[in-house]
Amino acid sequence: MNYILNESEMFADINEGTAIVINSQTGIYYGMNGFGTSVFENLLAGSSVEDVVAAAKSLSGAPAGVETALEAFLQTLSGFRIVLPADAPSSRPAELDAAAAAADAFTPECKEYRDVQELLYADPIHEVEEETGWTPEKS
Amino acid sequence: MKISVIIPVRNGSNYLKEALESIAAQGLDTETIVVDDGSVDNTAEIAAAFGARVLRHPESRGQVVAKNTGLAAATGDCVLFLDHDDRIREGALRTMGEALQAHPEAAAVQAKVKDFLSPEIGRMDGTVIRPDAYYGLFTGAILIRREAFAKTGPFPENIHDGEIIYWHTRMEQCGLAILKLDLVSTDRRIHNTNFGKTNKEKEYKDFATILRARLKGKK
Repeated sequence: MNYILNESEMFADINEGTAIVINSQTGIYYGMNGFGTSVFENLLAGSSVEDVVAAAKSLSGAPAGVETALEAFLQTLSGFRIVLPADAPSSRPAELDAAAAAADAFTPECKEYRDVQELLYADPIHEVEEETGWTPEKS
Repeated sequence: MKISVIIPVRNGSNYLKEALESIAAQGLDTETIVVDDGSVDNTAEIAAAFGARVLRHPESRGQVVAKNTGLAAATGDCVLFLDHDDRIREGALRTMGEALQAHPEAAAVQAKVKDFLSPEIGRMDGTVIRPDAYYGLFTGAILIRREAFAKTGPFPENIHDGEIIYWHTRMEQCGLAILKLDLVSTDRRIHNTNFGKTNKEKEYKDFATILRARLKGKK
Protein backbone atom coordinates (compact mmCIF):
# COMPACT_ATOMS: atom_id res chain seq x y z
CA MET A 1 0.00 0.00 0.00
CA ASN A 2 1.37 3.40 -1.00
CA TYR A 3 0.22 6.92 -0.43
CA ILE A 4 0.79 10.16 -2.29
CA LEU A 5 0.22 13.77 -1.29
CA ASN A 6 -3.22 15.10 -2.17
CA GLU A 7 -1.64 17.80 -4.28
CA SER A 8 -4.89 19.27 -5.54
CA GLU A 9 -5.73 20.47 -2.04
CA MET A 10 -2.60 20.28 0.06
CA PHE A 11 0.77 21.98 0.12
CA ALA A 12 3.39 20.20 2.23
CA ASP A 13 6.70 21.51 3.46
CA ILE A 14 9.21 19.60 5.56
CA ASN A 15 11.92 21.54 7.33
CA GLU A 16 13.66 21.48 10.70
CA GLY A 17 12.17 18.05 11.37
CA THR A 18 8.60 19.31 11.23
CA ALA A 19 6.13 18.78 8.42
CA ILE A 20 3.62 21.54 7.83
CA VAL A 21 0.70 20.86 5.50
CA ILE A 22 -1.64 23.61 4.38
CA ASN A 23 -5.06 22.94 2.91
CA SER A 24 -5.30 25.62 0.27
CA GLN A 25 -9.05 25.11 -0.04
CA THR A 26 -9.95 25.63 3.60
CA GLY A 27 -7.11 27.50 5.30
CA ILE A 28 -6.72 24.69 7.82
CA TYR A 29 -3.14 23.62 8.44
CA TYR A 30 -1.52 20.59 10.01
CA GLY A 31 1.65 20.07 11.99
CA MET A 32 3.40 16.77 12.64
CA ASN A 33 5.71 15.72 15.39
CA GLY A 34 9.20 14.52 14.57
CA PHE A 35 8.34 10.85 14.15
CA GLY A 36 5.23 11.67 12.16
CA THR A 37 7.30 13.91 9.92
CA SER A 38 9.80 11.13 9.32
CA VAL A 39 7.06 8.65 8.42
CA PHE A 40 5.32 11.18 6.19
CA GLU A 41 8.57 12.05 4.42
CA ASN A 42 9.27 8.40 3.68
CA LEU A 43 5.76 7.80 2.37
CA LEU A 44 6.07 10.77 0.01
CA ALA A 45 9.47 9.49 -1.11
CA GLY A 46 7.88 6.24 -2.28
CA SER A 47 8.17 3.88 0.64
CA SER A 48 5.16 1.65 1.08
CA VAL A 49 3.30 1.30 4.36
CA GLU A 50 4.91 -2.12 4.70
CA ASP A 51 8.36 -0.58 4.22
CA VAL A 52 7.65 1.98 6.93
CA VAL A 53 6.25 -0.58 9.36
CA ALA A 54 9.27 -2.84 8.83
CA ALA A 55 11.66 0.04 9.43
CA ALA A 56 9.79 1.15 12.56
CA LYS A 57 9.80 -2.35 14.01
CA SER A 58 13.55 -2.57 13.48
CA LEU A 59 14.27 0.59 15.47
CA SER A 60 15.96 0.08 18.81
CA GLY A 61 13.41 0.30 21.59
CA ALA A 62 10.41 0.04 19.29
CA PRO A 63 7.39 -1.12 21.30
CA ALA A 64 5.09 -3.92 20.22
CA GLY A 65 2.37 -1.40 19.48
CA VAL A 66 4.32 0.63 16.94
CA GLU A 67 2.43 -0.90 14.00
CA THR A 68 -0.88 0.06 15.58
CA ALA A 69 0.40 3.59 16.15
CA LEU A 70 1.46 3.82 12.52
CA GLU A 71 -1.92 2.57 11.32
CA ALA A 72 -3.65 5.21 13.45
CA PHE A 73 -1.35 7.87 12.02
CA LEU A 74 -2.12 6.81 8.45
CA GLN A 75 -5.83 6.88 9.22
CA THR A 76 -5.38 10.41 10.53
CA LEU A 77 -3.55 11.50 7.38
CA SER A 78 -6.21 9.91 5.20
CA GLY A 79 -9.01 11.37 7.30
CA PHE A 80 -7.59 14.85 6.85
CA ARG A 81 -7.23 14.07 3.11
CA ILE A 82 -3.55 14.95 3.34
CA VAL A 83 -2.68 11.76 1.48
CA LEU A 84 -4.47 9.63 -1.06
CA PRO A 85 -3.90 5.98 -1.99
CA ALA A 86 -1.38 5.72 -4.81
CA ASP A 87 -2.45 4.08 -8.05
CA ALA A 88 0.90 2.45 -8.65
CA PRO A 89 2.61 0.46 -5.89
CA SER A 90 6.24 1.13 -5.15
CA SER A 91 8.78 -0.05 -2.66
CA ARG A 92 11.71 1.76 -1.11
CA PRO A 93 13.46 0.92 2.16
CA ALA A 94 12.25 3.45 4.70
CA GLU A 95 14.85 5.45 6.61
CA LEU A 96 13.13 6.58 9.76
CA ASP A 97 14.55 9.11 12.19
CA ALA A 98 15.39 6.93 15.18
CA ALA A 99 16.00 9.86 17.51
CA ALA A 100 12.67 11.46 16.62
CA ALA A 101 10.89 8.14 17.04
CA ALA A 102 12.31 7.69 20.52
CA ALA A 103 11.63 11.31 21.48
CA ASP A 104 8.00 10.92 20.43
CA ALA A 105 7.59 7.52 22.15
CA PHE A 106 7.20 5.87 18.74
CA THR A 107 3.87 7.62 18.30
CA PRO A 108 3.59 9.64 15.09
CA GLU A 109 1.14 12.51 15.34
CA CYS A 110 -0.51 14.96 13.01
CA LYS A 111 -2.59 17.73 14.54
CA GLU A 112 -5.07 20.03 12.88
CA TYR A 113 -5.00 23.79 13.43
CA ARG A 114 -7.63 26.34 12.51
CA ASP A 115 -6.24 29.37 14.28
CA VAL A 116 -5.27 31.28 11.13
CA GLN A 117 -7.91 29.74 8.89
CA GLU A 118 -9.51 33.08 8.21
CA LEU A 119 -6.22 34.49 7.01
CA LEU A 120 -5.16 31.52 4.92
CA TYR A 121 -8.58 30.94 3.43
CA ALA A 122 -8.75 34.57 2.52
CA ASP A 123 -5.81 34.25 0.19
CA PRO A 124 -7.69 35.81 -2.69
CA ILE A 125 -5.71 34.54 -5.61
CA HIS A 126 -7.06 31.29 -6.93
CA GLU A 127 -6.58 29.57 -10.21
CA VAL A 128 -9.07 26.80 -10.76
CA GLU A 129 -10.22 24.65 -13.60
CA GLU A 130 -13.66 24.26 -12.18
CA GLU A 131 -15.44 26.76 -10.04
CA THR A 132 -15.93 25.40 -6.60
CA GLY A 133 -17.82 28.00 -4.68
CA TRP A 134 -15.99 31.08 -5.78
CA THR A 135 -17.48 32.84 -8.76
CA PRO A 136 -16.14 35.39 -11.20
CA GLU A 137 -17.05 38.91 -10.27
CA LYS A 138 -19.88 40.29 -12.31
CA SER A 139 -18.75 43.12 -14.51
CA MET B 1 -3.93 61.05 14.97
CA LYS B 2 -1.48 61.19 12.10
CA ILE B 3 -1.55 58.28 9.68
CA SER B 4 1.38 57.07 7.63
CA VAL B 5 0.46 55.10 4.52
CA ILE B 6 3.35 53.00 3.29
CA ILE B 7 3.30 51.69 -0.27
CA PRO B 8 5.96 49.15 -1.22
CA VAL B 9 6.21 48.99 -4.98
CA ARG B 10 8.36 47.69 -7.78
CA ASN B 11 7.60 48.80 -11.34
CA GLY B 12 4.14 49.92 -10.36
CA SER B 13 3.44 52.59 -12.93
CA ASN B 14 0.31 50.81 -14.17
CA TYR B 15 -1.70 51.21 -10.99
CA LEU B 16 0.18 53.38 -8.49
CA LYS B 17 -1.63 56.53 -9.52
CA GLU B 18 -4.98 55.03 -8.51
CA ALA B 19 -3.65 54.04 -5.11
CA LEU B 20 -2.26 57.51 -4.50
CA GLU B 21 -5.49 59.13 -5.68
CA SER B 22 -7.43 57.01 -3.23
CA ILE B 23 -5.21 58.26 -0.40
CA ALA B 24 -5.55 61.87 -1.51
CA ALA B 25 -9.33 61.46 -1.62
CA GLN B 26 -9.36 60.69 2.10
CA GLY B 27 -8.94 64.43 2.77
CA LEU B 28 -6.56 63.75 5.63
CA ASP B 29 -3.10 65.06 6.34
CA THR B 30 -1.51 61.68 5.84
CA GLU B 31 2.15 60.93 5.45
CA THR B 32 2.46 58.89 2.28
CA ILE B 33 5.67 56.93 1.90
CA VAL B 34 6.38 55.11 -1.34
CA VAL B 35 9.20 52.61 -1.08
CA ASP B 36 10.49 52.09 -4.59
CA ASP B 37 11.96 48.62 -4.59
CA GLY B 38 14.40 48.95 -7.46
CA SER B 39 11.91 49.99 -10.13
CA VAL B 40 13.09 50.57 -13.68
CA ASP B 41 9.94 52.41 -14.73
CA ASN B 42 8.65 55.84 -13.66
CA THR B 43 7.22 54.69 -10.34
CA ALA B 44 9.28 57.24 -8.39
CA GLU B 45 8.15 60.12 -10.62
CA ILE B 46 4.49 59.19 -10.19
CA ALA B 47 4.90 59.02 -6.43
CA ALA B 48 6.74 62.32 -6.27
CA ALA B 49 4.03 64.01 -8.34
CA PHE B 50 1.58 63.20 -5.57
CA GLY B 51 3.87 64.65 -2.92
CA ALA B 52 4.77 61.29 -1.44
CA ARG B 53 8.05 60.70 0.34
CA VAL B 54 9.95 58.38 -1.95
CA LEU B 55 12.46 55.96 -0.49
CA ARG B 56 14.44 53.89 -2.91
CA HIS B 57 16.07 50.50 -2.84
CA PRO B 58 18.72 50.63 -5.59
CA GLU B 59 18.07 46.93 -6.15
CA SER B 60 14.96 44.95 -5.37
CA ARG B 61 14.88 43.47 -1.87
CA GLY B 62 11.27 42.31 -1.90
CA GLN B 63 8.02 43.69 -0.59
CA VAL B 64 8.59 42.60 3.02
CA VAL B 65 11.89 44.46 3.29
CA ALA B 66 10.29 47.42 1.54
CA LYS B 67 7.58 47.50 4.19
CA ASN B 68 10.22 47.57 6.89
CA THR B 69 12.04 50.37 5.10
CA GLY B 70 8.87 52.41 5.08
CA LEU B 71 8.09 51.56 8.68
CA ALA B 72 11.51 52.72 9.83
CA ALA B 73 10.97 56.07 8.12
CA ALA B 74 7.36 56.60 9.19
CA THR B 75 6.56 59.36 11.66
CA GLY B 76 2.79 58.89 11.98
CA ASP B 77 1.03 57.67 15.09
CA CYS B 78 -0.24 54.69 13.10
CA VAL B 79 0.61 53.03 9.84
CA LEU B 80 -1.15 51.21 7.03
CA PHE B 81 0.70 49.22 4.36
CA LEU B 82 -1.10 49.54 1.03
CA ASP B 83 -0.24 47.55 -2.07
CA HIS B 84 0.41 49.84 -5.01
CA ASP B 85 -2.33 48.25 -7.11
CA ASP B 86 -5.11 48.55 -4.55
CA ARG B 87 -7.33 51.38 -3.41
CA ILE B 88 -8.55 52.69 -0.09
CA ARG B 89 -12.24 53.46 -0.10
CA GLU B 90 -13.31 57.03 0.46
CA GLY B 91 -13.54 57.88 4.13
CA ALA B 92 -12.08 54.56 5.27
CA LEU B 93 -8.85 55.93 6.74
CA ARG B 94 -10.76 58.48 8.79
CA THR B 95 -13.15 55.83 10.11
CA MET B 96 -10.30 53.52 11.00
CA GLY B 97 -8.32 56.30 12.66
CA GLU B 98 -11.34 57.35 14.69
CA ALA B 99 -11.93 53.76 15.75
CA LEU B 100 -8.35 53.47 16.92
CA GLN B 101 -8.70 56.69 18.89
CA ALA B 102 -11.95 55.52 20.46
CA HIS B 103 -10.41 52.21 21.49
CA PRO B 104 -7.11 52.85 23.25
CA GLU B 105 -7.05 49.19 24.27
CA ALA B 106 -6.62 48.20 20.62
CA ALA B 107 -3.20 48.24 19.00
CA ALA B 108 -4.70 47.92 15.54
CA VAL B 109 -8.00 47.97 13.71
CA GLN B 110 -8.75 45.58 10.88
CA ALA B 111 -11.32 46.26 8.21
CA LYS B 112 -12.48 44.10 5.31
CA VAL B 113 -11.15 43.78 1.80
CA LYS B 114 -13.21 43.45 -1.37
CA ASP B 115 -11.63 41.96 -4.45
CA PHE B 116 -12.19 43.42 -7.86
CA LEU B 117 -11.16 42.20 -11.26
CA SER B 118 -8.77 44.58 -12.95
CA PRO B 119 -10.44 45.83 -16.13
CA GLU B 120 -7.76 44.50 -18.44
CA ILE B 121 -8.17 40.90 -17.31
CA GLY B 122 -10.42 38.57 -19.28
CA ARG B 123 -13.20 36.78 -17.48
CA MET B 124 -12.45 33.42 -19.07
CA ASP B 125 -8.87 32.90 -17.94
CA GLY B 126 -9.75 30.74 -14.95
CA THR B 127 -9.38 33.47 -12.40
CA VAL B 128 -12.16 33.58 -9.88
CA ILE B 129 -12.46 35.97 -7.00
CA ARG B 130 -14.43 36.12 -3.84
CA PRO B 131 -17.75 37.87 -4.24
CA ASP B 132 -17.91 38.84 -0.58
CA ALA B 133 -15.81 41.25 1.46
CA TYR B 134 -13.54 39.53 3.95
CA TYR B 135 -10.91 39.94 6.65
CA GLY B 136 -7.88 38.85 4.74
CA LEU B 137 -4.30 37.92 4.37
CA PHE B 138 -3.66 41.49 3.61
CA THR B 139 -2.05 44.48 5.30
CA GLY B 140 -3.93 47.03 3.22
CA ALA B 141 -6.96 46.98 5.49
CA ILE B 142 -5.19 47.16 8.85
CA LEU B 143 -4.30 50.37 10.64
CA ILE B 144 -1.63 49.71 13.25
CA ARG B 145 -0.35 51.89 16.04
CA ARG B 146 3.29 52.47 15.17
CA GLU B 147 4.30 51.95 18.77
CA ALA B 148 3.07 48.34 18.53
CA PHE B 149 6.06 47.52 16.37
CA ALA B 150 8.33 48.37 19.29
CA LYS B 151 6.94 45.20 20.87
CA THR B 152 6.36 42.97 17.83
CA GLY B 153 9.47 44.01 15.95
CA PRO B 154 9.50 44.55 12.19
CA PHE B 155 8.39 41.99 9.61
CA PRO B 156 10.72 39.01 9.17
CA GLU B 157 12.94 39.55 6.18
CA ASN B 158 13.63 35.87 5.49
CA ILE B 159 10.24 35.53 3.80
CA HIS B 160 8.72 37.16 0.75
CA ASP B 161 5.06 36.77 1.60
CA GLY B 162 2.74 35.82 4.44
CA GLU B 163 4.15 38.46 6.76
CA ILE B 164 0.63 39.20 7.94
CA ILE B 165 0.43 35.74 9.56
CA TYR B 166 3.69 36.43 11.33
CA TRP B 167 2.40 39.81 12.42
CA HIS B 168 -0.82 38.30 13.79
CA THR B 169 1.23 35.73 15.69
CA ARG B 170 3.47 38.37 17.19
CA MET B 171 0.49 40.52 18.15
CA GLU B 172 -0.97 37.55 20.02
CA GLN B 173 2.32 36.74 21.68
CA CYS B 174 2.71 40.35 22.82
CA GLY B 175 -0.86 40.54 24.10
CA LEU B 176 -1.79 43.29 21.64
CA ALA B 177 -5.43 43.49 20.58
CA ILE B 178 -6.75 43.83 17.04
CA LEU B 179 -10.20 45.37 16.78
CA LYS B 180 -12.24 44.18 13.81
CA LEU B 181 -14.42 46.76 12.14
CA ASP B 182 -17.53 46.05 10.12
CA LEU B 183 -16.17 48.21 7.36
CA VAL B 184 -14.92 47.53 3.85
CA SER B 185 -11.86 49.73 3.64
CA THR B 186 -9.91 48.46 0.70
CA ASP B 187 -10.49 47.27 -2.83
CA ARG B 188 -7.98 44.66 -3.84
CA ARG B 189 -7.14 44.38 -7.50
CA ILE B 190 -6.97 40.91 -9.01
CA HIS B 191 -4.88 40.77 -12.12
CA ASN B 192 -2.52 38.49 -13.98
CA THR B 193 0.59 39.50 -12.12
CA ASN B 194 -0.64 39.37 -8.54
CA PHE B 195 2.26 38.28 -6.42
CA GLY B 196 0.31 35.43 -4.93
CA LYS B 197 -0.87 34.13 -8.23
CA THR B 198 2.53 33.99 -9.87
CA ASN B 199 4.49 32.75 -6.87
CA LYS B 200 2.09 30.27 -5.30
CA GLU B 201 4.65 27.61 -4.46
CA LYS B 202 7.06 30.09 -2.92
CA GLU B 203 4.23 31.82 -1.13
CA TYR B 204 3.05 28.63 0.56
CA LYS B 205 6.59 27.76 1.56
CA ASP B 206 6.77 31.11 3.34
CA PHE B 207 3.43 30.38 5.01
CA ALA B 208 4.79 27.02 6.18
CA THR B 209 7.90 28.67 7.60
CA ILE B 210 5.76 31.09 9.60
CA LEU B 211 3.32 28.41 10.75
CA ARG B 212 6.20 26.16 11.86
CA ALA B 213 7.52 28.98 14.03
CA ARG B 214 3.99 29.63 15.27
CA LEU B 215 3.64 26.01 16.39
CA LYS B 216 6.99 26.13 18.17
CA GLY B 217 5.70 29.15 20.06
CA LYS B 218 2.68 27.17 21.20
CA LYS B 219 4.79 24.47 22.85
